[in-house]
Amino acid sequence: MDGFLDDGSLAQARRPGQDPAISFDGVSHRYPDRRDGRGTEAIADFTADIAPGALVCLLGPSGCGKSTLLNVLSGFEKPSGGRVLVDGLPVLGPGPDRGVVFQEPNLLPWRTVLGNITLGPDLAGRPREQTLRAARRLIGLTGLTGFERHAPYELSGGMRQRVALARAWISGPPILAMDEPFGALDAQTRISMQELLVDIWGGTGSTILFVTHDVDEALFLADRIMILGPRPGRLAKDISSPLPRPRIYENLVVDPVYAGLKRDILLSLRQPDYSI
Amino acid sequence: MMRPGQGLGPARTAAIGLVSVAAFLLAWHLCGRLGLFSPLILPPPEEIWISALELLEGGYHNVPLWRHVLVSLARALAAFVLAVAAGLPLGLAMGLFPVLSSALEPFVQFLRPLPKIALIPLAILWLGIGEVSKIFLIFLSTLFTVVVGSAASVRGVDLSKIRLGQALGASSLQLVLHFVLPSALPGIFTSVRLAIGVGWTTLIAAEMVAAQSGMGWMVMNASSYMRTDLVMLGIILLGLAGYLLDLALVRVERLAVPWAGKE
Repeated sequence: MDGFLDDGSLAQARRPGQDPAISFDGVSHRYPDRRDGRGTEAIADFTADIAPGALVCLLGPSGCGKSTLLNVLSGFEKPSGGRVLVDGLPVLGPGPDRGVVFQEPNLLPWRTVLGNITLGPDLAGRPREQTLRAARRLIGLTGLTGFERHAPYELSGGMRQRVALARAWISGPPILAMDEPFGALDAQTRISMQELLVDIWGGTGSTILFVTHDVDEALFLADRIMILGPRPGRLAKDISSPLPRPRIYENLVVDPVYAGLKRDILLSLRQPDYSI
Repeated sequence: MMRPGQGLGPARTAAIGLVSVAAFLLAWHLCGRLGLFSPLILPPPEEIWISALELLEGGYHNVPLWRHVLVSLARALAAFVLAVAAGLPLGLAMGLFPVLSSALEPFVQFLRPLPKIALIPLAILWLGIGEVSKIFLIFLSTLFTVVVGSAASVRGVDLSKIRLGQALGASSLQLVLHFVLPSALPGIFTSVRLAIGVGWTTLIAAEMVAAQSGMGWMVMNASSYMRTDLVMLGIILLGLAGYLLDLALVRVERLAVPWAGKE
């Protein structure tokens, strides 16, 4: 599956009713701590299946283990218990089948904007012509036209994160793990980035696991919102979004369904034990 | 008032620096004029200038002044090139492979702070009194700073850069070449700059070994004839050469790692 590198879209490659794209199977994770022997339990017995092509938000306060789950999915950390399956196969380490967008843009300052976007295909030794064609398409989609030769440190925060999005998307990974990628942006930029994300995702059919602590962001983006309880994180609430797409930000905020859903989520986040 | 993070701009910085150097020279000159110090203790700047002109004309001990400068520079640069050529790969390897680092760390940490002057007798014994032992001393004092600095730069590479590479499917070699090394480069440059500063200070010690020329040798030799003016001239030349060397390195650094400090 190549996504932007060829014209075959990922959505066609997936058949409805297929096995889950991602399965968290009793995942627990404990960070070792030198001061006591037990360490800190970040995630306890997290089990969930995620359907192919879904945009799922992991919502919860900081320290609830959202990022840990993402790191386990990305293969950066081995869970101390349970396992993660991608397309039925256990995750053994990081790999280009799971794209990652970090909290910080994490661009390479020694490469231009274009060089950052083509990083994945360059490492894989893809043909240059094909890579450039894909990059040009993504540069157009992400509104970076004219900035191809700029250095990352010459861009604004929002533009940097758009480069990071284009970099993650160019190889068309079937799965994207996104760790609060818009958290550091101002409100206006954040909204346009969310719209951009939904636009591109709609054309690719990638499965996205998106971590956030922003209820509005989760409501705007998600097909499904998984709320994590406080440490150690476990699935506290699992909501399928009834909001139809396309979603318009300005209309959502006066939509009673949206308001009711937001109220429920805020209430469940407020309760100390997140009882359902 | 200085607000942190805000400089004065290059033009004003240079102007203020020039004024302060000029004021210092004037004060120094006045000290001589007023007869505050004997010329043997502190020769006035004009006297050093005159000695410099004499040396330019007639040389020092039958060696032209420019040759003293060049000989010292050649010794130091040969040592620096060797130290970077040997120290950089060693430091990078130590940064990448913890086992190698653990094995070599005791030696590096023992030798690095060792005053290199203490090694003069051994250098002579092993390498004779020719150029090799002089270069060896400067080489040693440069080497360990390069090793320790480049190893630390590699170890300090941001974990998120490594993770990015892994998530994009980079091989181990690609991780090193495309993520670790470029990330470590600004730190490596800083350590090479520091190391060359340290190596330059060893020049006098190296030229104490049976030299017949060089700025360091000139300073030591002139002192035995009570030629304080020439001692100070040598010191000024050593300082200037070191300053210009560092300036050149900063230029190279800006060209090679324009992103340093900009992330």
